[in-house]
Amino acid sequence: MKILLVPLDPVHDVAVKMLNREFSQRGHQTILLPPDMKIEEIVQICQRETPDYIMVSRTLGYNAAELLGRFIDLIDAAGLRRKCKVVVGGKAITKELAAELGYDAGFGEKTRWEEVVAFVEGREISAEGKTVEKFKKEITRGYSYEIKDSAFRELLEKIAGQIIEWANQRTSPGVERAKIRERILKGEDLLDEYTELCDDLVRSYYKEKVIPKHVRLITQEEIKRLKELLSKSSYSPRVLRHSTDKPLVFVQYGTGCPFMDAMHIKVSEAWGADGVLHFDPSWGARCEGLLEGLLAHEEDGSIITLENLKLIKSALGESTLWCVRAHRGVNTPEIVLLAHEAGADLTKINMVYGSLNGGSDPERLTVDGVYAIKLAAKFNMPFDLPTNEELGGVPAHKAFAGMLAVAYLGVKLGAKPILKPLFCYSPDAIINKYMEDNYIDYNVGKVIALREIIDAPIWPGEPIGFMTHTEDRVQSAMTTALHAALGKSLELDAITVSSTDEAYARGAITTSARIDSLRAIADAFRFFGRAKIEPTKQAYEYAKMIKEGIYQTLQRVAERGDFVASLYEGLFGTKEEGANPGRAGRGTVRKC
Amino acid sequence: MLTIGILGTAKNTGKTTALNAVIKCLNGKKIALTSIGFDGEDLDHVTGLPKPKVVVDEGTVVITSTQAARHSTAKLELLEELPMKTPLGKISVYRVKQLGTVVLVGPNSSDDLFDVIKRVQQYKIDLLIVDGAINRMVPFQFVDRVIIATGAARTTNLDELILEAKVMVKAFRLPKEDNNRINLSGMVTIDRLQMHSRDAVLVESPIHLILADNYKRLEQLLEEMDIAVVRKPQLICVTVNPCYPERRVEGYELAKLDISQVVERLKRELDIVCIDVNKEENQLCEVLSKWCE
Repeated sequence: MKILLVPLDPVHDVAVKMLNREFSQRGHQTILLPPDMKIEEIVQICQRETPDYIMVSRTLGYNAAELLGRFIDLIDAAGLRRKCKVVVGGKAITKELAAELGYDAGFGEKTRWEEVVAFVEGREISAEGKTVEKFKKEITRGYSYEIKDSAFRELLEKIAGQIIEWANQRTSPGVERAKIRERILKGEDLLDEYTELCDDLVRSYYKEKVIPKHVRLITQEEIKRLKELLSKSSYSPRVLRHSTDKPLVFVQYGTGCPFMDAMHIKVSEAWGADGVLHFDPSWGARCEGLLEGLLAHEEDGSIITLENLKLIKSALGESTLWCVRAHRGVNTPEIVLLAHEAGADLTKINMVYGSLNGGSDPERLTVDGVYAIKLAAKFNMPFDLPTNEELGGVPAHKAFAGMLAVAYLGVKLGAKPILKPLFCYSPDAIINKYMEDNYIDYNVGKVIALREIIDAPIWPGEPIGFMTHTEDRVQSAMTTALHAALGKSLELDAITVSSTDEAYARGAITTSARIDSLRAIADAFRFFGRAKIEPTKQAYEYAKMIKEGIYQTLQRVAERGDFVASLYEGLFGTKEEGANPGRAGRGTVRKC
Repeated sequence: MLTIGILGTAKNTGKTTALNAVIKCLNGKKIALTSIGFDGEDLDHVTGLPKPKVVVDEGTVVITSTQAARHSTAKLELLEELPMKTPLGKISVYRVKQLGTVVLVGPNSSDDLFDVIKRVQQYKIDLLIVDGAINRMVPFQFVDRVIIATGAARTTNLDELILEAKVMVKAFRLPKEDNNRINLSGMVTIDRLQMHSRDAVLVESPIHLILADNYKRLEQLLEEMDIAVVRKPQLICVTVNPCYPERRVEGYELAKLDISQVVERLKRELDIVCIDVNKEENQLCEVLSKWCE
């Protein structure tokens, strides 16, 4: 092919120079014009040379559209439109603009050379280009869960042993409902037995069809429309990471409306998220029993029913990891059961956080948590352990002690726990000035400490950069991206990220704000590649301090010899520190 | 079948507004629509300002690309696929089954428009209306009638605006004859014209002339020289749009200029119908009914 390359621009000619190299290497005949030529002069050259392709490059500034319009008109007037294909390229060029300008094709910012070459050589190439293949990744794979320090092992063994023994003799309405639900799922008719163990709100929903306040049934018409919308949404898989395998990037959803959730998931997938976390409403965690059917409400968190979960599942991409949060309420075991039934990959259980900052009674949640972990083990569903009590003011080492106690318990019960330290500017860090100089050292210290204790996957969240965000979306995207880069630098397994309006959305967050964060993260990963972020020596001091703090906390709990009592008595965080044993489900545990 | 082109001198000179007015005025005729660029988008591709929609009635024939057809709210029935492409897919002929908006992406070169005009004859249409794009006009060398749409978006310097409109009108008034003339086919630059300033010359169309970038010089040459054209659409009228996109700190905003003197002067000095489309739609209808019989 004979190709005339035209930088229709006073200065910029990088793109045409690169194309020139590409085309020449492929054996095409090229003529590269210098920048800043008169349009008439260029057309005269076109007339003389009659190339197969005239490729015009132009950045869009003042009157550039008119200039490009006049150029194509002159080419037309010269009778060249059937002899030459005329192509326009430039940062702001879109197909629509190329059509308006009257060119045969237009290539914009995201164009790869192969696309332009394929166009010239008349080959078909998908606009999306190379299809990236995405697979579900097993986060827990390759971890031995070995406790690296025998002193820690001894304490954790003692605590876990006590919990198991204690829980074995006890049951709760939550555990019993899970058992009944399991049989209902197998086809038995046990609704009466089930509702017997539920709060009035749930019972009257089943018995008298009374729909709880603010809740509404989703209509068939809405389902039909969602299906249409989902069938229309197409995108090519995208990977946010650049030259590294870790971390996986998760987003949280829970708009209250499963449809909105589905669209948030699709947008997040399209912009490269690897996984999503289902957040349930806080009232659902305090109310005994779960509803059924397709339900929506205008509150934070999406109602957990098997039907809602299945609807969400139908929207998920094949490679998208799905975590359904179960950890903090009086329905914990049943949620693990339903999550598995609906096809979730992961769940979330931490009795310490759930009872100290999540509103559930420690005794109750311990019984339920143990059963839930057993279910997770049975279903081979890894579970993550959030330590968000740190946001309430609990020092990181106490939150970590609780997380490690439950993680070790999980390992003993045959489950696969995932550690979730927070990457945040927490109240404790603020008060104690751990982050006066930078946001790196203390977060790195947390990870070093945990890694010195146990060989387990680490997934900071939820979300990273908590308390560093402001209402300024650019700023929020920036801090999220920097924390993501830190996670990458530490080779962590996954991160959970927020949208840039998460803290300021005044209602449901927006999809564009999700894109902000994902987009910024992709660029942070691109910027750092395999390069590392270097902490100061202080990070190792923090690691030592946190590790010692964890050890002391575990020692006290082990000495106390009673995990539940330790929760009530503030060994995992005092009331002054912001740990408040919850009340939901208090007094419902009985011996069996 | 009569073909009418709406030739704009720049972006936002009111082409689509004129198009919509023409559709309204010619209500009752069997109409076909297309564009040499992109029409009916929500927001301008450059300025981001809202654009007028193109609403079509049942029975209207629409020539647009496959991708553009998908973005139309009007229900479209495919009549024929044409052997020509745009950056937004192949061009096809559709019939509107149910009223709605259309996005028009049609033939973007003279050759393609020429072929489209030939192809749609078979649909027994009274009028094919072709909308322009940006400042592009060469494809209109093959239509029967044109409306020139100009306005503040072309230039806010009113003297310049008037000069340009006058030169255009004069170009469209050149005679159509080809006896013993030097044939200047293809692109006609000012330099090329000047080389033949003493000859009787023949250029392909008035549009080939008005592509020149020096209208002052072109006006002189039009006065001094003996120029004829091979083909030309007849000029129906000039529409003038007072609105223009004004650059602001944050993107563009729509601004408005008092263009009454432009309208007045063009009417007076050239005896041409000159219309502010936003205000004088009726007048446009009158002129059209005269020209489209």
